[in-house]
Amino acid sequence: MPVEGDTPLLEVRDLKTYFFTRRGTVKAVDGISFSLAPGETLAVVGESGSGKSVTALSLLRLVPEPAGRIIHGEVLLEGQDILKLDHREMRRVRGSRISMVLQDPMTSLNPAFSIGDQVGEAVRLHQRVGGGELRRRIVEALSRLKISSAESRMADYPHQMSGGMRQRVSGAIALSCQPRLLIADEPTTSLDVTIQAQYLELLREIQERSHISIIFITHDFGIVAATAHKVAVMYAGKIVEMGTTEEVFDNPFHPYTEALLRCVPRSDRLEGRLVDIPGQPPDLTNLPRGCSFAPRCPKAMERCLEAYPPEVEVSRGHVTKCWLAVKES
Amino acid sequence: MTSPAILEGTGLRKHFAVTKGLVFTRVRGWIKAVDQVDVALQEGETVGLVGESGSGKTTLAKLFLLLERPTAGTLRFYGKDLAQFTPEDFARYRQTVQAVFQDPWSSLNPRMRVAAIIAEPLPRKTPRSQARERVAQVLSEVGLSAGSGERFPHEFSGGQRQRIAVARALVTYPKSIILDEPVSALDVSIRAQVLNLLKDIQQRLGLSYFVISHDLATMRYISSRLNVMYAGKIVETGQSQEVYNNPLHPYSQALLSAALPLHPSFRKRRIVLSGEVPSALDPPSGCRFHPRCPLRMAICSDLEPLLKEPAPGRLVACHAVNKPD
Repeated sequence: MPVEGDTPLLEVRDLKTYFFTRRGTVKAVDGISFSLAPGETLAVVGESGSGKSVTALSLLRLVPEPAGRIIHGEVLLEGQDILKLDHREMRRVRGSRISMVLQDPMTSLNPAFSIGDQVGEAVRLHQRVGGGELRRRIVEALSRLKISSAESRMADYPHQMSGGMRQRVSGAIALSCQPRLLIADEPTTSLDVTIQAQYLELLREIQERSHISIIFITHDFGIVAATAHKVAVMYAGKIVEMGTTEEVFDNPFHPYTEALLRCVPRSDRLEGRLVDIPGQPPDLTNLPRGCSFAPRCPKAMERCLEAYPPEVEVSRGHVTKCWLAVKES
Repeated sequence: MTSPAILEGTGLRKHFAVTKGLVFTRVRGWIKAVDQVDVALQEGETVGLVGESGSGKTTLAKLFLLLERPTAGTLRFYGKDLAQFTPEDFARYRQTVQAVFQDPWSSLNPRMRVAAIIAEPLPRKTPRSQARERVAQVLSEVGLSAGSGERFPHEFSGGQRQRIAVARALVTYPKSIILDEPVSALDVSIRAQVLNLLKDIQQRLGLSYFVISHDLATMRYISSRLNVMYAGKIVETGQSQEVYNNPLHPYSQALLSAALPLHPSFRKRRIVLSGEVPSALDPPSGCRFHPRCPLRMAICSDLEPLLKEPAPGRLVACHAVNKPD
């Protein structure tokens, strides 16, 4: 569990990542700030196009250039701004201090190399070990993710494994150098329900043991409820609501969060229709002048169409960007 | 039963041969994708099928869509056996039973205009003016503007594309639609829109749905009867409500328990199954679930359990549930 008052492991301040395309500037991430304590899990929730994956890529400085650029902000990892590092220094951060698990293990593993080679690559790069020591590390990394008889499976290729096992191999690669922060971008979307439960349980155990911080990128509030201490809801490149998981589930303030929580079929509300969110996710090259959710918002007021709302703290540690939260003075 | 079911499969099996060698082909084994399955779809009802990948649910859908022929067992369409179908019956079948697939990015031809995509299932002899009129009708049925027909699929978002797929299924005045994971490729906020649309259309047109999904919450919202499938067999079936509130088969229990919580306070010790769905090439002996089952007994690895009725309207294939008398 995270400890209150700890110095944050990661602090992101006013991060902006834009893509400069022929159709105009896409403000994929537009001024987001958050912090993460050691051992804490933050879930970043949003729909496709909300900027959640670009946020993840920005933290690793893997935004596809030259179209995409981080144009503003600070990303402080244990107090050091990694946006100021040069390329060589940044390569030492990736995989050893921050690492990432991607959505689809079918495409993120190389089919032409054995899984032992692929786990070993990260260890060799960052810790300069070889021979028997390297082998020992690989077996250790695989067994940590509960891959049975790791010693003999090292020589297997990705196609010889099931989806769940492949995703555990990706996890083993990501965790092989004991990073402080793991970014998991929809790690379970391609897995079956019972395998998803296995995987989440495994991550939780690893987190308890090694006190690693995790950022979960997801569109599923179920994953949030199952794993996260804190949740940030993104819409059109901005964090529109952030707070502890319990607080956001119990008292969602932003109409978008509220709608997202209510449009899931649930056991206690069976009769009749599901609450749906009208309209479509916004076009990021052509955002409305005011609040970007206003065109779909059931509570939109005149001022919502005029200007973007400021961030307001609705209760301790629970912030939102919505004109409804702005008290009239 | 008063009237015959639209679709009824009895003892359906679909086995795929695994072969070796090019010239002197030898059969090395059989993948029993669907093994002895009974399902029926009555007019106006929604039957759900849940299972994980490899459980055979898509193969079963393919049997219903006549994309695969059963190895054994009978498939009846309004009481008539598939084996005795005339060409006219096939034509009628294909109009009556339509499909909507999971991924609206790959199920719509990017080079065709929406109107042409939707009109494609219509009989070839349909006059053009009549086809145009019908396309406009189904477009409004699914809540798309009449002008959408002139555009291409890439101009639409995921939810709208799935509406186009539904319109294409509706164009032939079907009686039933096979829905294979109809919302799992869509964003959460859009899922509710599409589910509501499907429910509205069903009420308006009196359709019956056969829905395949791995998402239990969705299933429960949309279906009246639920079948749980594991490794090619149906292990439990009953009214959705009852199966959901009180699953009897240990696999159904694990599947429900593995579903993600709706609220952080429901974060509980889940029944986390070890292992994975078995290979269909070499399924475990006896009950196919026994290597992963928490209630495993000695008999389970020897004798395959049959579907029995431990409670009215509920069928369960499990030795632990159906205690021998």
